[in-house]
Amino acid sequence: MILRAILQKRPDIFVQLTDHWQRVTGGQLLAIDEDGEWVAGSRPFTHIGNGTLPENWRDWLSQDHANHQPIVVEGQPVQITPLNIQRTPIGYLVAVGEASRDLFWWSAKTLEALVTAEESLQGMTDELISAWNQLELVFRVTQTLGSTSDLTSVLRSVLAEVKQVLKASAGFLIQEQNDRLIFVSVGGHDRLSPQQRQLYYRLQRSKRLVLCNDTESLHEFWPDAPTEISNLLGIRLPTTDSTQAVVALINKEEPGFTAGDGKLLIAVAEQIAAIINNTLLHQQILAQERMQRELEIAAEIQISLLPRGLPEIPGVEFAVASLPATEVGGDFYDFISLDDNRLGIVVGDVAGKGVPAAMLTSLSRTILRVEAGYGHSPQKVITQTNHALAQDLQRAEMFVTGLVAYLDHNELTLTYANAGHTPGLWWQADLGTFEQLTATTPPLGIQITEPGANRTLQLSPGDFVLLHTDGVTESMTLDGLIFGSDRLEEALAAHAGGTADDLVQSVLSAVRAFRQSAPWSDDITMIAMRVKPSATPHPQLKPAVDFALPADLQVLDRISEQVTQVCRSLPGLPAPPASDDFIYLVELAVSEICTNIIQHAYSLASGEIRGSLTPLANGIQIDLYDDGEGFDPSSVPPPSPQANVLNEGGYGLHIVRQIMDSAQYQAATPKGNHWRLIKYIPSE
Amino acid sequence: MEITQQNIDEETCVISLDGTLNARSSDQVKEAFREVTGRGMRQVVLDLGKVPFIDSSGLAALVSGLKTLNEVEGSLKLTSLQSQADLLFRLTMFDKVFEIYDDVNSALEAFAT
Repeated sequence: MILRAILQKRPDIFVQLTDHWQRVTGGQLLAIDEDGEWVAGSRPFTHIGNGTLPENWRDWLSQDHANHQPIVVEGQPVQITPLNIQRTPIGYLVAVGEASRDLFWWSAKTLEALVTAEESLQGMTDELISAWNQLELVFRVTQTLGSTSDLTSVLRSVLAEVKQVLKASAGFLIQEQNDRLIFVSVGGHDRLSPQQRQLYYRLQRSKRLVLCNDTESLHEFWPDAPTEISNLLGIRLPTTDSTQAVVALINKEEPGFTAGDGKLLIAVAEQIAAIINNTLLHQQILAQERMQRELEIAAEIQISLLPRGLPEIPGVEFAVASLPATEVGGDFYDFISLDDNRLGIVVGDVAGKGVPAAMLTSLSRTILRVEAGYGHSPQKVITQTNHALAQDLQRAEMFVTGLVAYLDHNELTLTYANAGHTPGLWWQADLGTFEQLTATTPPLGIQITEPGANRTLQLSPGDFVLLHTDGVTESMTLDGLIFGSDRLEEALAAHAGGTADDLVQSVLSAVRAFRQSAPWSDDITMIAMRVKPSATPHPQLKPAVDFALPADLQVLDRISEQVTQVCRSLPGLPAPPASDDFIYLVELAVSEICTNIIQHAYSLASGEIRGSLTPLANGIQIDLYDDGEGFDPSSVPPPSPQANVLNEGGYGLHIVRQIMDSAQYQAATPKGNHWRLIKYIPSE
Repeated sequence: MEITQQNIDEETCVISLDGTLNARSSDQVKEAFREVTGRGMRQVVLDLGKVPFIDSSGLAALVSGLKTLNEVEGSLKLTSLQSQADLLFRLTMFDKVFEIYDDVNSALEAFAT
């Protein structure tokens, strides 16, 4: 059938051969198929049956083989020889007339070669055309499917086509990506076997096409090949570096895979690799686009959630600066109107960047706002928010720092709780010093075992408070120098008399000048609130007790008694014994300062201690004055529980700073010292 | 500040303080330690059950007492801290410096073993 098909399609092959034959021998050539039916060439025996050979021609064939003697038909010598393509018989070549045996044999081999070449070419062309068509179809499908395309299913359909075209009984494709093997199988098991894994690594290392049609070469290449596999055609796909893949086909019917199959697979391999590369690239681009879009959305949401405008409150002015370092920052702030007199101010920082941080930022701000709306104290707002967020934060391995402050513009108080956030700064205009709003409780996301206390600052006209994020103090130069809190205080102090906006702008320009060309690595958020100098001072702010006593250790007990009395009269003080610690700590601080005055400022010589005890809305302020020797705060030794550092006096100051909310020292002119101690009543 | 002493044996005694332990009373307390070690006491229990107030000068007096006993290879145990004194010891981490017992008897038992 093959011989007839090829010689009908390419009659010129046989015509050329017979022309040559006739010119050399004067005889004739004809081709018959395996059944003796005429296929091409002359018809020399016109009077015999079908016009070719007598019915017993096969006997001649064997006779011819046996004795090498020419057979004579109708007086003419006849030679006959089988034609094979790849050992498969396809028919016979018959020569009529005198001719050498060798020449005839060579002619037969020539015909075989021509027919084989043509068969391979034709078969390949047909296969290639259909394969290309199919692949093109698949490829178009891939392109159309776009984002929804699932690489595995595309590969499966391509593989099915290849398997069908190559007439293999099974095919599989193994793709390795991110240290994971993706297995696509057609006509075989769905799961990757260890043997196939071995084949994958063998093929991956192999630089060229692998074609094994016998078990010997198969096992040489693939030692663990299962016994049911008789032949193999496989190749590594020319993918980009981001992935590696091989394709293999097995068990084609005998006699197995041809060179043409191999060429086809090489062509197909390029196509499959192109599909994989394109899909991966496409997925990558889609992921990037999605990420970019997510960032944009998150940034939009964040900006839309920031308060618009500044609060308008009698006697207090505000200014805000918010500079995100990336599209999505982890900083947030909020103003919450609590009631007629009170405004909630929140500033926070989510440790982390990008979309997860942005989501937590929005979430934290929302929960803080809701909790503040219930009228809880700042510390309770933080505790409740932590309850709500802790699980999510711990799972995300993130934490949020935040400072919640309630400004009462009637009382001029600022009550705050600070969850691990950068300390705010309170400028006390009459002292000309800063007081830090240090952390009172751990950051959100860390289990609160013991809730901290709220603290209340008694603000005075001319005071200001700056709440900010660490982006300000941790601004860095290219050399890694850090802006720090000293520079921040310097910039603020230089504009202490200015407006809230002056304060913010002063810090911004100081940070800019400091970092020079260094990039903004972190978000910067600042909220400045300034009590206008014209504001009415709080009416409660007048001393309950003023005293002037001789500087003698004998008076310590009397001063303590007065402290106890004033403390007991504080409106916010809880009933004993809850109040006992508070009173003790105030007494302790006063005792330390007074002892210092007596022993060091006056060196046990005579002098006077003056003082005033002033009840605050939610605490007590103690001012202590003397006319003794000046004091250098830097001379105080570092705190340590080591017994040997407990030298006289110095350690007491550490205790004072530790237990009081505020301990401000000022040298008096021309001589003497002024201490102002403040302690707020812990709430909750 | 009232200071009373009770001898348990020739090496062991209990010193009980009553009053405020501050700069005014600290010298008295330091002196009491020197006095008992002078009498050969090596194991001293200091009962703070009647001391409502201690400041850093008071702590200094206790540290001085500890040193005095260390010099004669003796030892000091504090007992019966009131809650504010306990707060001060924790704040200053002096609770890590001193051996502190709930009451005089458990301190004495600790010496006995």
